Amino acid sequence: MDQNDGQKKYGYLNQLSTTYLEGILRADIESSEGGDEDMILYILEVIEQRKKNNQTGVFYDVDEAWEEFQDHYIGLEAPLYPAAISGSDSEFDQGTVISVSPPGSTEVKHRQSAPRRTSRTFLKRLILVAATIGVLLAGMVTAQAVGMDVFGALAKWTDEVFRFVLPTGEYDEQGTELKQAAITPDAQELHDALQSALDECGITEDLAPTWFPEGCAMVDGPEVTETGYMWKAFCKYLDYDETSFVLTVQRYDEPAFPQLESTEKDSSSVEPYIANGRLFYIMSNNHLLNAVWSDGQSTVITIAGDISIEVLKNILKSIGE
Amino acid sequence: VTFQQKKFLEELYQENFNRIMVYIQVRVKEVETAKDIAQDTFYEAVRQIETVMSHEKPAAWLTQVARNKVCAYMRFCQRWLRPLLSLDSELPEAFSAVEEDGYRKIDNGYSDLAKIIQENLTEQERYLLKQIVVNRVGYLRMAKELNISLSMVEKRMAKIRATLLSYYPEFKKIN
Repeated sequence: MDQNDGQKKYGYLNQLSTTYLEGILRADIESSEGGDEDMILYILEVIEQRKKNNQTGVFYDVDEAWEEFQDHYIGLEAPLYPAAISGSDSEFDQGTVISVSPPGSTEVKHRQSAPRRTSRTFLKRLILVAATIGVLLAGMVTAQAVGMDVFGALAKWTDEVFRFVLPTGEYDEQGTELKQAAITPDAQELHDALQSALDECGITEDLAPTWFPEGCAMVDGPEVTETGYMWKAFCKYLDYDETSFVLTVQRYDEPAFPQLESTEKDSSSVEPYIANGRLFYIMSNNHLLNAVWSDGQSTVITIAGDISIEVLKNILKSIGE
Repeated sequence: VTFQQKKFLEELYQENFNRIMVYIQVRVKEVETAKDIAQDTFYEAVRQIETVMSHEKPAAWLTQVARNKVCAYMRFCQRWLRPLLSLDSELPEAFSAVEEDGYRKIDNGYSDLAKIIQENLTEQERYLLKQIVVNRVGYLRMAKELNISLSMVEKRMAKIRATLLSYYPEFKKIN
């Protein structure tokens, strides 16, 4: 990766302490698959630079080490620390067979006898949390300056999938703020039903819409489910035109989990839409509309259905007024 | 190693040695051992110089190799630490749990492993193994201490590994 690309993509890591960065490296080592290799290299550069500047740790004399390498190591007949060793007698090495061959090599295979989800998940979490912290430190001023919800997550997407990602500090200012009409009694009832389900999920913020299409009724839900790492409240609505939509609010136990989820979409573009300081992303998937929002921490709202863009935006505008 | 390969290697070394040290030291705190592993990582680059030179990201290749070496080293130490410590223990249970031929089986204790060490390694080999595993001394320092070449230390350790593994095909099988 080009140095400028690395700076652009991973610059937020500079905001983190050496201890935290070393924690990411440690998790990478203990992970069977390792993490983002470009990010690992960038972290190593950052820490090396700090050591060089005597900010922290020891910077070794490379010339001396090179001399030592030529005097003692280069003439060895076999490696001192053969890596093709595996064991199963400790928590550290369970399930993995290590070889010296890195990706791209054809000489020795790197194989894995069993997945180590725990360490990989931990590594992912660590990286995502690191990025979130870095961005919040670096991008808050910019975000506030453009009137954005600084805790709203940004996102990326392809022709097929949408996913919340770590903010980069650059924001698209598309979207509009519109005033909402008065809440009707029917809408209030629908709001209260969903909001009580959200309370059950431990969501205290008012995230239930207060505007619904005329004649809209809840035909399914509110249903609250708990999966071990996430609470989910689900409602399905049907209006007079027999168009239906579902509204899902998810609350994750860990701050980084929303970024691990993805939303299917088609190849049409994604429209950022701001309502009440929240940055929603509107996209289509097989002629259905989807709107998603995340606080970048633990909560995700998804509204999907065969409704018009106007109806969808009106619903979004009514959330958390 | 051709002149061009050596030039490539030196540049790779100059640019990455400290980074590899940073990477290794997050798991291996002993500086001499960390240096040993770092040097051994570059030694692997010498052994696979053509692969490294044609690799899209040689630095990433190095970190992957370093990672594997650190993991292997930690595993080796973890496996043999308790048995070695139990050799120094005066507690009677050190060997008490061993059946007649039970030391060929892996059990939850360490007495069988300790017995293998005790019965199959020479005193000098036990000392070397203990220094590497328990005291986390680097190979280069051991070479200096024993006044032998680094290559000789490597050979002795290779023999020790082979001896230990011969009693544990379970370990060898997954190597």
